Amino acid sequence: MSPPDLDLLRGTLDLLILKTLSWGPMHGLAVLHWIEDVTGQRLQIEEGALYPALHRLEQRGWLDAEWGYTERNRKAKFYRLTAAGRRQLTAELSKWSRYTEAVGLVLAREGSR
Amino acid sequence: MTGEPRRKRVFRIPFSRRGLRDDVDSELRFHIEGRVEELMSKGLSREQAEREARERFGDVQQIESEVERIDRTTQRRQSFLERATALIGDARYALRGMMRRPLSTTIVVATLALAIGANTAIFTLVDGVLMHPLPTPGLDRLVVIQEDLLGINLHDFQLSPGETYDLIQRKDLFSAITGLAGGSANLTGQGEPQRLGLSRTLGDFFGVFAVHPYLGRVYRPDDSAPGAPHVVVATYAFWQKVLGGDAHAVGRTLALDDTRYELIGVLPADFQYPRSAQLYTPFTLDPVWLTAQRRNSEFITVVARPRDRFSPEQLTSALAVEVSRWARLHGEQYVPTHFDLHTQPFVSYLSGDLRPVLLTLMGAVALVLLIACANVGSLQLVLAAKRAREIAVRAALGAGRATIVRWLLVESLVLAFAGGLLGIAIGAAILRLVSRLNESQYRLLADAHLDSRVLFFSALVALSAAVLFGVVPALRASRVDLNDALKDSSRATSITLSRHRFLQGSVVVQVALTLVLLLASALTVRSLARVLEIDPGFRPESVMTMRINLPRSRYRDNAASAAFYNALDDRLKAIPGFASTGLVAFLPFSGGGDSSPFDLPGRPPLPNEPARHANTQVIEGDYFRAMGIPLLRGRTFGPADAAESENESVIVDEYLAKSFFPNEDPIGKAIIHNNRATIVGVVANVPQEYLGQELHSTIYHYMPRNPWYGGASAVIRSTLPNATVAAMARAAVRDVDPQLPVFDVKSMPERVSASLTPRRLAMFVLLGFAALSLALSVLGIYGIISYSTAQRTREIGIRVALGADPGDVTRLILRSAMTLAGIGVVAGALFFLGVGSVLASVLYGIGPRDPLTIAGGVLLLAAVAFVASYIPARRAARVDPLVAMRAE
Repeated sequence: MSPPDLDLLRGTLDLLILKTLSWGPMHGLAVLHWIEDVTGQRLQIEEGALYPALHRLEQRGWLDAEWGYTERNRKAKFYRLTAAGRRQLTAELSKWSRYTEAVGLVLAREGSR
Repeated sequence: MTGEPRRKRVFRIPFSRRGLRDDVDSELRFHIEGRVEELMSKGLSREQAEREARERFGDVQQIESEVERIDRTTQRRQSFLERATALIGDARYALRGMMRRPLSTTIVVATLALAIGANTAIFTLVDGVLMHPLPTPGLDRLVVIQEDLLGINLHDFQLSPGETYDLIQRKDLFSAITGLAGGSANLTGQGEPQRLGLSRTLGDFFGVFAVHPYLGRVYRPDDSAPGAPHVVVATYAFWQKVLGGDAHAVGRTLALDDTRYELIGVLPADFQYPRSAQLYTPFTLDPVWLTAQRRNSEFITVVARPRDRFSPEQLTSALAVEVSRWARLHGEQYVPTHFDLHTQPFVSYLSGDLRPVLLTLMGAVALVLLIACANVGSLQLVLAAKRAREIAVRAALGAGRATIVRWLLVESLVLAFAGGLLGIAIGAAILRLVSRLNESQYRLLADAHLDSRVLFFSALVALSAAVLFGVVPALRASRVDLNDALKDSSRATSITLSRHRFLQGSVVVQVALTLVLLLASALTVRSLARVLEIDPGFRPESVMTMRINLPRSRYRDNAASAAFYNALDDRLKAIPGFASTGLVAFLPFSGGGDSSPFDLPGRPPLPNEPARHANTQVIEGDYFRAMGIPLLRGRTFGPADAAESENESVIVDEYLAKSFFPNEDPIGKAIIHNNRATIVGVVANVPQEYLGQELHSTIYHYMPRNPWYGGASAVIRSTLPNATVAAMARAAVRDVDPQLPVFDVKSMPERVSASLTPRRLAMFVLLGFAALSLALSVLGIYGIISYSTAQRTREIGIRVALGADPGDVTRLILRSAMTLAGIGVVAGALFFLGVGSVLASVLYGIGPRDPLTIAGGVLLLAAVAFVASYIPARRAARVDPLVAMRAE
């Protein structure tokens, strides 16, 4: 498990996916919409990068994938957070808050100038 | 779109590569199409929307292949996990089932354990003796070079130092080559004087065997230069036993035959060759050894590592060229009609007479395994038939045929695994028994031990056994008719024709193979009986023997040796309680010996006369009486024969007398054997090495006149206990020379018995195998006949109800059983006639096709098969028709 601080982007994306899916099962596009909606389009994600991330999380057993139908009766692949995924999310969240706190402390320091 | 979607399970991760690609493809397409629709609803044209969506997405191709790669890994991991889990589940299920059937499980595991144990033990011996007797890498490339003296019909002789020297120069043929002179030396100054095995080596001994010292260094070829300081290298065993494993032993001085040697190194524990060696020292090649007349003193064992580019045939022809060079240099003795050099693989040279025995046993033990598999296989099939209902239930619950076969196979594997573990323990126990064979020449057997190779072999045996006894029954049992099986359990157990065939085949195989083992063991028993009937030519009972060696440093000439022997003989003679005593240079049944050509002046060769070549013996005192060798004609030696004169007196054996003086009295005839001599007596033939040995002429010389050899054995006939005789004789030796060690103290019967070790081993092991397989096939026949009669209960009931005599029923069943046994016996006998010839080399005085033995074996097995099937047949005939018909 690569520590998030080594690969900030991917680690962040993983965290975002886990957090998003903690609200309920979604397909890939829905995950993207959710993030866009919540952030008010402020976070630009390269959409294609989402899929390798999803499949990698599935491989680790944090997500379960299943084919199903959308409201408009289109076949789509839905992802659901597993119990292991939920534990991982908790762990990542606390790591993340420690990380941002530390970065925040550095950035909040007023320069002597 | 983000509410709880209506979902239904379509499928999970697809298994095919193609399915996987489609899966990823549709997922990504869904994304892009979704985006396109969104953008179009915002007012973009389809074209603009598609361009925008793809731009946002990135490189579709690359992402698709990356996702695919991730999925493939996921899939591999999952399917492995799933399979492992399924296998563990099956194994658990099998174990539970086995626990529910303790009796049959015990029988199966015990049968397999015995068969695997026997295979483990025999393979360990084969591996230790025939395949890996030494840790040397590339051992199978080493060859022993021997010579045949065709003129006097002697084969596989050692080489002389001169010949060895010439071969060592042939660096083009051999990457390493060495010559070994076995020998011994008296070690003094380390407590009691003792006799040690000292091997003198020529060439690069340690290079040939690729031995690296454990301590210190090994000597190099230049350590053997004349005048170099004497050095020795010790074996690990010697270092431990005599030097107490002293870490600073290197550099110490050892007194061997009163000469000082510096210990320069110790060899690793796993290297021991030759068996008798405790110390190694360079052979100093005195120029005298290179002279023509010393080129026929053959006492060097030559071991070489041929260069890789030579095939055995090329090597043989290269050696022939070398011999023709010798013929040009040294004359007639090397012409091709007289002399020939050949090679033999070192490993087969080392195993010697154990080789045919072990190969025979290896074949026999494979048959035991086959019998066990046939036995267990039929038991499994019968059990599977009884469990048809259980199988049918599983099938009805959706288990496919493959699943059922796998389930039954896993069961076989679990059984084989249990049998294998127990079998290895049994094999280890058998090896402990074998290692009690302490006779020095068969140390090779005692040294064999279980190692990773053996364990791998046992695992392989267990696995193939599981396949052998598991696959056919599993395939048969999986063909269950669901309707039949579920409707009524008793009908479901009715045997189908194919299943019946398998059981019949199993009876035939067991009977046939058991007959083969029975015949093989019977032949070895009869052969050993024949060997024991052989008149050894002497009476070994109440004879004690022991050996002494005179170090050349103190016994420099013949006079000194003769004086010692005379004094010892006098002292032994004087001991009350010793009925008769004597000395002999080469004690029979103890290894060692010397031979040389003789001539009969004025007597042209008779037609068909054997080679004029005789074993040399030198004796003193009352040797013939002490050994119990009858004097057939003439007289034994007396004091007058010791005098130096033109003509020596010699005694010859009966073989020589009959071969060369067929119709005459040999007494008084002239003979030239080392010296000019007159024959004064004829004694009975005595084999020099083992009972049943091919006879060879022997000429006895008188030791006081010819103390040629630096060693001798004392032979004492006495009714006193062996230990008392040994102690008194030791004291006598000490009185004459307190520095001489007495060694190899053994009674003559012990020596004779030790020479029978390979025969005994073959006999006992084959007997054990035969008994085991006989027991297995009795159980097998009994079980199968009981089972098949139980299947026919209804038919029998009807027959009895219709008025059949119980005797008729018994006869009916017996007839079918004995037909199978008959086929088995005939097949076994034919098989034995085909392969029995491999036994010829381990048999004595009896052919492998001895009709009496074969007839006896056939009768015995037929009788046993009859009894084994009679009991269930009788029981079936006593069936109450009412009960039998209601049973349905």
